Amino acid sequence: MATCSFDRKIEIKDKKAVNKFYEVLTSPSEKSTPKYDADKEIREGVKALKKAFCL
Amino acid sequence: MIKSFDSFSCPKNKDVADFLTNKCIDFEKRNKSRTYIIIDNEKLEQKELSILGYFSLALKSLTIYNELVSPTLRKKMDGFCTEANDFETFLIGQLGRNNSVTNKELPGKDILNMATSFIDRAQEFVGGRVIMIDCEDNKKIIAFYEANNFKYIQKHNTKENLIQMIKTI
Repeated sequence: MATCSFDRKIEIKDKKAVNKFYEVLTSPSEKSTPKYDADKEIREGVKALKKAFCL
Repeated sequence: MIKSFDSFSCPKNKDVADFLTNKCIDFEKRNKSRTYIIIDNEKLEQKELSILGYFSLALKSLTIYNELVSPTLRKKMDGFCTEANDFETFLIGQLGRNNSVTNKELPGKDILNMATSFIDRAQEFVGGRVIMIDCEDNKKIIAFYEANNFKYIQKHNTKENLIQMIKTI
């Protein structure tokens, strides 16, 4: 993980990497039922923070 | 709240703690990324903000050099366009656990699952096919992401010694 990832341009510069990228792109979706309910997590988190710190 | 960010430490990768302490709020204000913190609920009930882990998400383009791909392959990759150079991805730019928390208490897999659940939600609204991480070239880290269905793409020859891994959504 790196902060610089947010800023720098990420490029694929060689054929081998293109092939790997293509392989992943054309592979079946791995989407499954999300393990967490994002909306619920945010809603309950904000509620708990407000309760604790009266935001 | 910002004071609590100082209690987050990650000696194995100081950039992870530095981002949370010094940069994430600025990035949030500029809409460059969104950071989600995982809080100890029991301590929060005692009005103590204890950060167990966090992750930051952003949008990122992955650019493919023109000469590397034929228009036909480009169309196959993009789905429509023979001139597509940029492929939009969801970037997990930061993901970390507080050093004071054990893997048993908060497995890295759980933080990653939470991050991907949030990306899934964003994808429902805006589309997108790929999640990308830009991480240290470290066997243990690579093994962790591979175990979670990410595939190694390439290494970047930069001073940060980073690699890219991706997975489809």
